[in-house]
Amino acid sequence: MLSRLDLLTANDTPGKHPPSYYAATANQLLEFAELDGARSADVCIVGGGYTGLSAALHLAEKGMDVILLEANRVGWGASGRNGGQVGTGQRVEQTELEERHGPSHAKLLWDLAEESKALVKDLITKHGIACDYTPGILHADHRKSFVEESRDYVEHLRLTYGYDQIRFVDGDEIGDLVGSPRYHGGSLDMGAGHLHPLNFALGLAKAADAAGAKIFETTKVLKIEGRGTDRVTVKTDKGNVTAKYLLLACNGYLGALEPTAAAHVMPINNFILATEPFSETEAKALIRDNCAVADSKFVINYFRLSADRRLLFGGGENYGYKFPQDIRSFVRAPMLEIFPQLKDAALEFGWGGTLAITLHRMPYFARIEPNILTASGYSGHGVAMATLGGQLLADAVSGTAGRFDVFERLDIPAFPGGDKFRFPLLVLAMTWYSLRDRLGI
Amino acid sequence: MSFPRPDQRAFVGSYWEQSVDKPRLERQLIGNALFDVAVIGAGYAGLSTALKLAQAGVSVCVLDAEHVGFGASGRNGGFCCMGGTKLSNRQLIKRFGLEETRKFLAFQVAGINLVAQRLKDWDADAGCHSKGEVYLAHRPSDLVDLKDEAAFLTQNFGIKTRLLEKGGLAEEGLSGPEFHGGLHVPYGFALNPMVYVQALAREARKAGTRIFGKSAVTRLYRDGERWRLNTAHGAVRAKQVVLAGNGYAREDTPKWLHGRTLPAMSSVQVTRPLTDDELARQGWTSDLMASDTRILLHYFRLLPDRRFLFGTRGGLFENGKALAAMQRRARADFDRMFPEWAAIPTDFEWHGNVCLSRRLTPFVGPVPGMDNVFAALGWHGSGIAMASISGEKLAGLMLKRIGRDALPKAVQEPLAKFPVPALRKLYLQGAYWWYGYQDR
Repeated sequence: MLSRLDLLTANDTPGKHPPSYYAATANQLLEFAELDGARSADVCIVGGGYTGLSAALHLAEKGMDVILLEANRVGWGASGRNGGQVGTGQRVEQTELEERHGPSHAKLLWDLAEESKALVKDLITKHGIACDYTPGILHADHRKSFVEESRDYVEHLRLTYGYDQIRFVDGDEIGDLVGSPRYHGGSLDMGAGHLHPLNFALGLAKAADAAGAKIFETTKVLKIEGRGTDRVTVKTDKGNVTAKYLLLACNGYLGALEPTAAAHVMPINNFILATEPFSETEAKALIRDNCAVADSKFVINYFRLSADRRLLFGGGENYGYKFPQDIRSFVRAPMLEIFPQLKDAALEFGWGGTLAITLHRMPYFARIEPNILTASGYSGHGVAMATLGGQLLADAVSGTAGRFDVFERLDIPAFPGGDKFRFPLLVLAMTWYSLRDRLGI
Repeated sequence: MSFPRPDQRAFVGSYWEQSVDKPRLERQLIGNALFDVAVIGAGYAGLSTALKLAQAGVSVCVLDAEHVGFGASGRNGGFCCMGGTKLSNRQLIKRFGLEETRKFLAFQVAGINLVAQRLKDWDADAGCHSKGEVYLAHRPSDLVDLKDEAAFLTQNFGIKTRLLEKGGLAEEGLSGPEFHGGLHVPYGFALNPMVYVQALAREARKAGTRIFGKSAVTRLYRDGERWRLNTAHGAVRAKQVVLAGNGYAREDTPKWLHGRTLPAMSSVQVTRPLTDDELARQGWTSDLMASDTRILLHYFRLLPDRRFLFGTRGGLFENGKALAAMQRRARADFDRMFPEWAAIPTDFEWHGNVCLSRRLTPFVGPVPGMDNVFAALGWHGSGIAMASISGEKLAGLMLKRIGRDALPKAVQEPLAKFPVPALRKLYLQGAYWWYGYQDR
């Protein structure tokens, strides 16, 4: 579990999308060539997910010369595999952020999160990205004792942040919204929403390409050279890129490429299955209003209906590097806990992916060197935040770093153990919390 | 020759014994038997090793002087928590370095996870409760130390603790005149230890392990290529031997054990079930397992049926008079710490041995100078998690599936001999006096 497997190859076929429902329903799988030979650019970006693609798009729009290197395919990592939820706020609740960073910094973080959702919607409109964006996320409490907290939190968001898109849902109503006996209440947030994550990523790639960013696929960066100078060079198998700025946008797939960034994020795996398509009536009996659902378990269950009315159900984590043999049965167990009525449903897709978390579950934005910047560690809240992260990286490079600094000031601590961060205690701690949930303690 | 009859079970009077079906009376070993591996001691460690070996297709037997869970595995307070050593984390870092200490702490949490996972997989209802555990400061000055400890744990190990100021204890349902604040550590849970050890034995049997009761090993010696373990009415010849008797091991089997462990006593009392009103009056309603910051600690928790379990470390001699005195002292401590319950009768009281070692750390690995003999013992009073994971890992070592680097160094230093073994109890007596003085 603790050996250094390369997550770029450990669970997948290099250069190929995983067998996900998303890959099967992609609008148009783009293909970009492999980098061959020496090139130079203003900015070199490593990683073709939301962060890297959004950075490339925004930099190219500013007229900068941008090269993006992706080890596999654009949208291949978590950006093309996640639950598709475009959540409100940060991964950490505002009340907690207020306590940690003071009310005014918490407000800045809230505002940026609001901006991130708006950015996603703007990009979808502006670039005509067909990714089935649908409003509504329901937060469902699996313990009675959480319900009052949900009510308080809704009130807090409405009063302190003037956020009126969210409302409290009581125990009676939640039974109407979700066809599961497991939930006691929660909140419904119509300012949040869900989308087809891979199609969104592919749309960003197309837009970045159209704006003039040069994208290379199946081009794994092996080494960074020239650190501490004003020209950084990255080496790949067949070529290299020299640039004034280097942006690391690799998130959970960074591996050992850069030790400082690696010390601040920990990769964890998450799994999703897709059922067969349901009839309209069957689908409504599961989720009445086509909102996405995220529940309050430590190993969170998240689910929603796809455009063709399959249930996409995410649940079950593992903290080793390898995916379980049979992902569908692995996720089926938590799914049946929530929807026992689905015991006979056919499961047509099952896939896994790797996200990155930080010690405090807030994203890690940093200038590792004056000209090497990174944004990662979205801790499971990345669809909108990573898209914004890319834009903030672009801003920071082009001289307006104010919003980047709001995150950098968070001063995310490294995991104890430095770049050997695969410190087992933290992995075991996650396992402990999930076991505790399951033992009902 | 007389064989024990089925009703000659040794009961210790614990609350756990009557909470489960009667411990199964294992067959006694009679005659000669041949196994790949013989394990001495049917507790968490020995059964965990046996289970793993049997699952790997090894023929294995477990020999116990009494029956499953007769020793500490069936007598402890049910705290499945971090621990296994008497060294502080700072002392561990000094001796093993930061990385190894991290590894050791990770090992402790892995042990907790292993027990939780087993209970879940085996569908064993062990009455689990308590999210983590809480250390309560028994003096105001100890709260300062706990604050230090909290920062230390976060900084070095990334363990996020929660500090409870004195004023916040009542709200948490953790009140008592001697508690001046506390530190909540997120790992660990409480369980019925007898349910767990019986489930473990059941699974070990299912996997093919033979367990023999009333079969104390009286002699262990080389017999050709194998080791021979003599019991009162039989003998096992095995290629490999595991010593897992912990605080109940016979010191002369093998001689190597002599003077290397120091069994010390711990006593436990359980009250009758408390009413809502009684709980409210004392202000203790939390289901968190707790211990205080005394070196000679007290450990306590509210059981799911609302009896209160109260344990005390200390006591040296297992004769009637000394035991009665120890129980009296424990009860007096309880009355002082929970004055509202001073009149509540104790329904159960019992005691058991914890196993200390001179280096104050456990030992898991091959016994020096004895080819193919292994040991897993010395849990220092926190064995549920530590013995379980150590037993399992020891099986991995024996099967050569893992190397010694899979274990933290802190559990690999062979047991050292106490300087003059005959004086061990006196050292401990001295230590008790000294600690008792420090704890005031």
